[in-house]
Amino acid sequence: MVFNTGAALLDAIVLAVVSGETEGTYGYKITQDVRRAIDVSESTLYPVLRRLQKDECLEVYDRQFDGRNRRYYKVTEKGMAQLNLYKIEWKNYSKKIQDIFEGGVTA
Amino acid sequence: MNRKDFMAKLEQLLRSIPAEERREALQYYEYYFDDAGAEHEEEVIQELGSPEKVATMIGADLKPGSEENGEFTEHGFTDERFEEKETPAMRGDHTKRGDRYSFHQEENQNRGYSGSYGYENGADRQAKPRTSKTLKVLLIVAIILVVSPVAVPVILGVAAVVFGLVVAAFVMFAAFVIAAVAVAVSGIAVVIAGMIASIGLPSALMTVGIGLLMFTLGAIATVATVKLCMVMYPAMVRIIVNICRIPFHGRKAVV
Repeated sequence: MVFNTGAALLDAIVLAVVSGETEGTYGYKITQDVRRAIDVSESTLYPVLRRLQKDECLEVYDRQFDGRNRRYYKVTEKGMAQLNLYKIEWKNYSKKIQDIFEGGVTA
Repeated sequence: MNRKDFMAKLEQLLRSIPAEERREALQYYEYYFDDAGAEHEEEVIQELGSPEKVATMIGADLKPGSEENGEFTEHGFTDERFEEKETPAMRGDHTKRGDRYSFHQEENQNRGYSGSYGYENGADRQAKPRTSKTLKVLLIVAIILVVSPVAVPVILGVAAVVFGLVVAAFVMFAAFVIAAVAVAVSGIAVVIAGMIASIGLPSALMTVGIGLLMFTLGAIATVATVKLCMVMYPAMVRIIVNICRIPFHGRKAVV
């Protein structure tokens, strides 16, 4: 990919991916989903998930699946608030870039 | 390398981080392999890169101070790491290298993302002086001690001037209102004077007329100036609040 994805944007993408699953989702699936959108290394996701968990944006719980445990991630209320903030910021940011690209810088 | 080797190596590399963090991370990757399935084991190992790389990223995020400096991007983390490995100019071990890749988060914690994309190139990072924190604090204290005899009066003076200007601005608009009211009140006084003074009918009529005119103009001016105050005062308060916020929240003022 030509453009880099900053930490905040990565946080936002992960929150968005996890929030898409009302029942929660797990590490491997999150990674696959995120990688569908951006070209990110698999090893990048764990620190992001862990940090979001520590910041109380994500909550985790283990659940039985196929005779073994699986760790599920779910967006908390705080995480939702954070995600909404990211969405607004992104909208503003991308609009500005769009305006510049289209040559019509409107004050 | 198979899954078992990978995990064993990772565990060994994570020995320096707190036990709880190590357990969490290892658990995550165990689940990760489980979910990928045995048929994708090879793929996953290849995608993860090396246990060293995985460990470095986990370690980088846990470093004290990692939230204050540096940036990372998924490419910064992946590509650069391996480019740098081959560069002889790069000194330091894995942990040191990890230190430079960290999350930029100081602002995120308070207000969410605030547009701090950035890129430091390798040369800049290397040039960064390695000053200890204590030394920095001592220097700052020393600077404060030297500068304070001059700075304190100057700052106080500036603050007093600013305060004076603010008060003057508030009082000025209040004075407008008072002046307008005064005109209206004196208009009434002139009307009364015109009616009770024995100065002959034409003069009395003229005086009363002037009084009425003054009262009307005064009343209009009162309404106008009160409106002006209602507009100006909140605006002024907002500007002052925003200026006060700048040192604490960066430049982005909330209007």
